[in-house]
Amino acid sequence: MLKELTPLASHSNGVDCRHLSVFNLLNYKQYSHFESVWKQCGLFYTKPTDDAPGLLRSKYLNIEEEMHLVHNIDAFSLKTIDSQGFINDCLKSIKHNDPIIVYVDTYYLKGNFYFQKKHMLHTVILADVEDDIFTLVDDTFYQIYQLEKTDFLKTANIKRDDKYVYNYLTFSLKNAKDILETKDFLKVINQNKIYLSGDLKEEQLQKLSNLHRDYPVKITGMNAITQFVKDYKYFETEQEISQEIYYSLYLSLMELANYHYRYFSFLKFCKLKDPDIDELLDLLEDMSQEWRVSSNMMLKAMYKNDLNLFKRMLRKVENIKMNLQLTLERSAIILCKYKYQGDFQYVD
Amino acid sequence: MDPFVIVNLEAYFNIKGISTLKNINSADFSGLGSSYPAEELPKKGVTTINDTPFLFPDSESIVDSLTFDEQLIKLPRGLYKRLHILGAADNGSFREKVYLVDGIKKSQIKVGLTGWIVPEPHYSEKKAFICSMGYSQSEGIVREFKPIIWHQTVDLNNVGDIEFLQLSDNPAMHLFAITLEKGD
Repeated sequence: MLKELTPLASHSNGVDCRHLSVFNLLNYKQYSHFESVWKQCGLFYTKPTDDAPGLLRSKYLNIEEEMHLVHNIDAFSLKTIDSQGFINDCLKSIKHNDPIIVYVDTYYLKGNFYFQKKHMLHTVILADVEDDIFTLVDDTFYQIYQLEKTDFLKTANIKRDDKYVYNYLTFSLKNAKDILETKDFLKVINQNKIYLSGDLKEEQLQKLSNLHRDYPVKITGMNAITQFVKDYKYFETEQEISQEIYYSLYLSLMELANYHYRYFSFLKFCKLKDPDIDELLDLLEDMSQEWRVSSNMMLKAMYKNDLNLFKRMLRKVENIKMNLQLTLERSAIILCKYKYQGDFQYVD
Repeated sequence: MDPFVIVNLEAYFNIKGISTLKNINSADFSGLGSSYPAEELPKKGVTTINDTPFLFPDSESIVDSLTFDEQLIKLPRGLYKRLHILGAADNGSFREKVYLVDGIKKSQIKVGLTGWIVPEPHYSEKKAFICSMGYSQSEGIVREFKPIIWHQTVDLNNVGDIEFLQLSDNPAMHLFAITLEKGD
């Protein structure tokens, strides 16, 4: 087994299984600022059709792009349908003391709480292979599983774009930056400001649509919230809302919360003593929590079939617009103060 | 002079978070069917935690605690040094805005409450009660988690006379009791 690769001891706010697996893997590789690597935060509204209600989303970069942004970490997401090729890569990773993150289906993950109960896309770290026993580290559930090869292949064979594949992530820190500079933080503040404001160019919109292939991105920025609330107001007059709607709202609002929490955590690594940065941090912490509370409301509404919680969620989401506006303004003040105009035009 | 002013929250209770083994289905602290075990908590009445007296609620009542729903809680008007809270959060840990109102002025403080099944505090609270098990409407007795009621203390920083506490909207924030501490 790879030395000292055990589940991380504690969880900060706003993390999912993928965040935690990456944290643990980078920590194992002795990358000290591992909690800063997730940082993208945008705001979009994806809808199946113009008439139907949709979901709010936050992601605008794939994992390779996000890890590379300012941290220069080289991440590779590999997919294959070839089980033997996948196993060979797993064995190679262990031999070279270079752990990989494997996507799994919880329904087939023996030892997990959701085994034979629920299909959920999940991540684990492959920590060892010995005598055809595969040892997996699960940071979300603080567990270590030991699976036979057939069980490992079963849980690792996941559905992506209507195809069953083996999907795993590898990381190289060869070019990674150890210490982030002021310009790195400004770069992310600038980029997130663009994607939170929704003031996007045609090619940026096109890229977003490629990233969110399930539903097209219809509206961005502040208007995304306005349209979301408008679309779902209709449901306030219903007697009952389906479990599927509650559950998809719960997941998408949780995603929004997690991306905001991650941006907040990233910015906490900034060493600048600046009241505007402190103010931006406060705003981001508040917004992260507001998204989280909205998401919790949907979880409880689903359990109790409580329409009142649905109405409270809509009010809360509507109120987030105020903090979003203040966040955009504070970001602009910071970028202006440090004369940030792009990657190499910054004056300290 | 006794510096503590115990506040009776009964009129504001809107949820039942404590159940007995005989009647597990009567309470739902988490909003997902789980509750604290009454057998491991005090009976109704004044109980002292970390030298601070609190009015612990009646766990046999239909409601025994409140979740944040923008309530305006009436307080004995006065100048207070600290606010003491017995409470916990569910489905995460939260730091929420609370407003101190004196009729004209409104000032903001933040109250952090750690999740009820999180073993260590996120917001420097002290552990008031640690239960050895929780109750679940679907699972019965659950020994995998050890529910905690936290004692949170918030400095009021001489904000002036206060007459009301105004809560924000967060159904995951729960209060069982509050006590105010007067200044020197």
